[in-house]
Amino acid sequence: MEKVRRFAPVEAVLSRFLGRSRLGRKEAMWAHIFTLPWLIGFLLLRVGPFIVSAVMSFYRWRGYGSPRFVGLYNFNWILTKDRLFRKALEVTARYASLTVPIGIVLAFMIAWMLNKNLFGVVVMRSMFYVPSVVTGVAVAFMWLYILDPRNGPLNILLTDVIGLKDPIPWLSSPRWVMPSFAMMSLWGIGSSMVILLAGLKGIPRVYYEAAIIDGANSLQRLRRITIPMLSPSLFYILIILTIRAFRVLTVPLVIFEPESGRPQGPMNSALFYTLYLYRSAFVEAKMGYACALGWILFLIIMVLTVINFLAIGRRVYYEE
Amino acid sequence: MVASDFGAMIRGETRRWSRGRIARFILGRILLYAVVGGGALLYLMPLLLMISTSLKSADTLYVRPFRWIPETLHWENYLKAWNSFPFSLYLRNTVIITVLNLLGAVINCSLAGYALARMRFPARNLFFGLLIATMLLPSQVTFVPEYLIWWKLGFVNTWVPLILPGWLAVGSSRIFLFRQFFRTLPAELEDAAKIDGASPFGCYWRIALPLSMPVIGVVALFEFIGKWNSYVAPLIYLKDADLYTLNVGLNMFKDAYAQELSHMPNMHLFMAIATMIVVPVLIIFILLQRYFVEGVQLTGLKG
Repeated sequence: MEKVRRFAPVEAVLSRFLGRSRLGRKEAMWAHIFTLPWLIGFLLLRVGPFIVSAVMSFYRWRGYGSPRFVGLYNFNWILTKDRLFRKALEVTARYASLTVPIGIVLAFMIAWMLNKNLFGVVVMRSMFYVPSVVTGVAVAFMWLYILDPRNGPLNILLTDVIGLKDPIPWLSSPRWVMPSFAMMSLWGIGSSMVILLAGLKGIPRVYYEAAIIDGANSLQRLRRITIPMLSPSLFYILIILTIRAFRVLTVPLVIFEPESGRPQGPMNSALFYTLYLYRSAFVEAKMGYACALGWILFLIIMVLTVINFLAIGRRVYYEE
Repeated sequence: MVASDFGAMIRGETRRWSRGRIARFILGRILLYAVVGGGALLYLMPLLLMISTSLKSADTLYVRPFRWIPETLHWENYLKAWNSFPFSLYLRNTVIITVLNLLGAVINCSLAGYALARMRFPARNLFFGLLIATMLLPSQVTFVPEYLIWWKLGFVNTWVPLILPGWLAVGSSRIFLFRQFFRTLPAELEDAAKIDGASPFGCYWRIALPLSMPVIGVVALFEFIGKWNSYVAPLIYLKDADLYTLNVGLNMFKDAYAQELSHMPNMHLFMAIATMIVVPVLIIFILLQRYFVEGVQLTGLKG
């Protein structure tokens, strides 16, 4: 007994991490092995970047030589002098304010219609959903072709069939860049639609039956039953779509970069925030500056998510 | 329809299906079909346009009026496109990266998910909290410092930064998905195996994993889509043209061929390549669309 007692502190620590009984300790050991890859990944690719980025944002470093400590210079410059930063915020905010509300309404409308026992509903659901699984360069290419001002099918349709006088300069005029991007975004609304469809299917039918007995018309049923019952899904989509607005990068890179060397589009009209971040880091090689931009982005997304939770999350109805 | 039927019955309407009501119902249905069907077609239109253009010849590309189905189908465009840039090399690269990443993600995410769902260890709640916290972290915040880390480790210009994250179970939502699923399995199965002397790994490998095929399907699908379509990561990390993926290669091809963007003379070839990149995804989608829909409904996350 004496001998065992001597190692009591060690054992206390060990049992803290590995559990008390021998069998439990074995299980805990296995559990640590199971979660080890994730833990390494978490430290290397989640915590690591945060530390690196926090440190680097106080340095000036152009990708070679040794970084120079500049204190808050990067942040100061971004917040007071950087016009492109403001432009990037403006572009992203405009994109979000266009795509998030329209996206939610459109996804809801499609889901609502698909929820009416129609014939061939599975096929139609797939047709709406397919665009959101095909993304990347090939699809950016496809849009480049469709939106071509002179020979694109969309302008052919608008001028030859509908009778518009002048073709619309979709991607070459600063005025039309944002509607073009909004259109591409709304094309990929399928995953939101499927989430809402699942939510709609989860609403018990008895609620509607009870409402009908009480003489509620369809508009009242929509307002008093469907939307409150669906509010968790709607809220979730709001969060996802808001965050996604800050993610636009591939499409402007593919569409604008090779032609002009300027992925930000005509007159910076497609200078999305992540694109500006990418450009600072990998085109202009301002690594410290890009890290500072990343931190600011992180704060913006956090604040937006908190606002979403406070402003709308409270009204979300969760069934117990 | 069922609901309103029921309502009519409750209200004691004897003439439940008066002529006016039938007409209104049919009219409503026709309208609904028109809107939904038209919308669905509209959503499919861009992809159909892509395929249609890929089958045109260079001189009929921009002929008006626009033809949906070309007079002669130029299937040789695909051969030409295939040969006009190192398509087979890039296809091979893309397949290797996608499959290796997918394997790693399925194995290690399911292991971590199993531990979090089924095993007792003191750090479990801590780990789970960290997992949830990383689920909310948008990836674009960290991609610059992540690059710096891979660069410092000497892995830029290799496939390691594209494959290893899968093996390090970086997709938190995948782990979460596995955990949620494993929690629904009855514990008795494992208890019986434990009595028979199975190790925790045995429980995972022989009992939990074979039962979790739907989740494996969902995770594999989303990893496949994500990696197959990914552009920015390969663009950042790969410098040698031999290592390129299809997406990066395609864009380089465009640089070389498109002097003038409007009026691109090789649009049919571009569309042929784009179609060849999209078609594998479409085929997998058509075969496994049930899993796609389930996956989105389970996680709400794609890509």
